[in-house]
Amino acid sequence: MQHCTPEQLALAALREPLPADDADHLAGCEQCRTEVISLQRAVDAVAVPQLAAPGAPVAPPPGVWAGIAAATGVSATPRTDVARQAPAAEEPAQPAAEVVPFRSRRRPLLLVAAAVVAGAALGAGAVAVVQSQDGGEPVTAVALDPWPTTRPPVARRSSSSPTVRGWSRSTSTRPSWRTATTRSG
Amino acid sequence: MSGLLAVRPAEMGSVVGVDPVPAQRNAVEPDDREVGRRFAAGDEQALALAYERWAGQIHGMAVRAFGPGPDAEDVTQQTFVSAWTGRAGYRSDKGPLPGWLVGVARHKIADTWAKRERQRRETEAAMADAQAAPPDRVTSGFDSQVADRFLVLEELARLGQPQRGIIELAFFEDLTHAQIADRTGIPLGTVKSHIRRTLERLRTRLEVDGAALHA
Repeated sequence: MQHCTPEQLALAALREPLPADDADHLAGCEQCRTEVISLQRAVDAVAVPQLAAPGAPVAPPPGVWAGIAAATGVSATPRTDVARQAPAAEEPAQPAAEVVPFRSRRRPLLLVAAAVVAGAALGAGAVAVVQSQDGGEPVTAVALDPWPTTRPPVARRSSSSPTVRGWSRSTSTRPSWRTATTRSG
Repeated sequence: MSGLLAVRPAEMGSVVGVDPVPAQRNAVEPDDREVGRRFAAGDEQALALAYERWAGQIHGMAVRAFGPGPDAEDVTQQTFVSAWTGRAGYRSDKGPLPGWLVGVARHKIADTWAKRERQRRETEAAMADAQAAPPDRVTSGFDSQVADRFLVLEELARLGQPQRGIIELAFFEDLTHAQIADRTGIPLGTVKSHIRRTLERLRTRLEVDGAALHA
């Protein structure tokens, strides 16, 4: 067959799976493979978890702003109450739900940790429910549940994200931190 | 095109504003686009607003890269300082301000990371010297990778939209071209040709300046 199109070779450089015909050709064509490898140099240069899209926010300590203000001479100040609440934004109060899976698979370890915490919290909640029902006070059970209805997506995310939307394209050849993510799912 | 850029903040998704009381704030406070405009114009209040809204995301990246502590705090601090002093380099065709800040943060993370690696190698080299082992086993591979990383980040920062958004979704959110088309509403064929052209551009940059760096 003819050579792969330049566009297909670019996708191959990103390690997207090609249609079978193209994949077969690529496997046997030195010229096309050389092209993919040359395009891949840039892909690989930044394929590290440190540079992945932002995940869960973390509120910086107050000294960070102090340093910024000192370096820039800016006298305006952010409201610290807002900055301090930043971690709360991990919960998708904003319409972030649809993007979460893409972010989360970059952070396998954090997500495993989150799932463990979620599981522990749910477990604690369940215990609380049982205990409070023993006491004949089911209303208390709701209040004791540390994982209200908005929370389960955290756990769901972590278990489903590795298989969500095209993650499979990187199973074989991505750098190890990515394949590790796949295996963890 | 302006329509595309307008929806980008939500679609890029990677930089969700941190806003625990949206109802109160929307009445009196500028939206993200306005913050970006004022930031570029040098309005000091916009720096404070940008920090309120996005420092959590930036610091989250820094902590993910280096763990909590001085290195991460340095990255966050330097990101905002550099963004502010380099605000002339931010224009609306670069996309929303939070995405641009994330790009600046990537540079700072790469800097810090390279610095750490250099220190680690120096320590190793010192140990190897002490043990009279042959030096320089690992250094050249790492150096060229680091050099490539800086060049790619630099070139990405020069891209306009939608090229930059497209390639960042591929690079940093690991989306396929079909998912990118889905997310952005840009036609599949257009996404593919942007990806192709951007990778060519990056390759050229690496071949020209990467080679020069190693010469």
